[in-house]
Amino acid sequence: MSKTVTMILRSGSTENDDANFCMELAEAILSRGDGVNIFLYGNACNLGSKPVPYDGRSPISDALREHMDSFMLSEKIEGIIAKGGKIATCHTTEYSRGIEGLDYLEGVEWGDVGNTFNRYLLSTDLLISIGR
Amino acid sequence: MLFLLNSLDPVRLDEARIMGGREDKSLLLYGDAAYYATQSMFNKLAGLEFEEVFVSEGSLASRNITLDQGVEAVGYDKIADMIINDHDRVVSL
Repeated sequence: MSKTVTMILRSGSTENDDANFCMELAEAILSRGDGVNIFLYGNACNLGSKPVPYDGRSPISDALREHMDSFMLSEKIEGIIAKGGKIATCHTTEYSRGIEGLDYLEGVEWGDVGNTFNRYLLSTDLLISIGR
Repeated sequence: MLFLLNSLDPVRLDEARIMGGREDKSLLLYGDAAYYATQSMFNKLAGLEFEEVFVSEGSLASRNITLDQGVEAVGYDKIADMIINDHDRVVSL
C-alpha cells in the first residue's frame, strides 16, 4: 500500500541545499509509487513562481549565469508535479516577500497554512520539515 | 527512530539525545551536517549511541568529503526507503 509523505520546505534554493534535497527526495518517493506533498513556506515560497527574465543588459557573466542556473529548481518542480506530486505555496510568506502577484510554475497551487497545509496533513502518513 | 540532520548546530544533537533516549536510533546527515561524516568530526557524534549513521551522497558530492568508516553514504532511493519503510518514526532536527 502506497504512503504519502508531506514535506514542509522552509529554505530557498540558493541559501543552502535543503531545497535541492527536498526535490531529489520527492522524485525518489514518487519513483517508488508513493505520494508527495510539498508545502513551500518562508523563503521556499520563492520556488513556486515562474522566473521573470530581465530584458535589459545584464552584467552577469556567462560563467556566473551558468553557475547560478545550477541552483534553479523550476524544471525539477514542474517535473515532480507532472509525476503526481502536489506542491503549494504559502501566500502569506509570498506577500511578505512582495511576490504574491507572480505567476506560478505549471501545477503549483496557491495555498495557505489554515487550509492547504492542513489538507495535506490529513492525507499524509509522514511529515518532514526541511529548513534551518 | 530516524533523525534527519542538516546543520552543524550542536543544539540539534542535544535534541536528538533528549528525544532519542534509550530507543534504537539512526541518523541521516544531509546538507552541512554531512561534515559530521568526516574523520575529524565524527567523534562529535560519540556518546549519542546511534546504531547507524548515514549521509546523503548528494551532500557529500557537493562538498568533496572523505567519509569516516562509521558512516554509510546513501542515495535518494535508499533515503526514501529509510523514511517510508525502515523506521517507525522520523524526526527532523
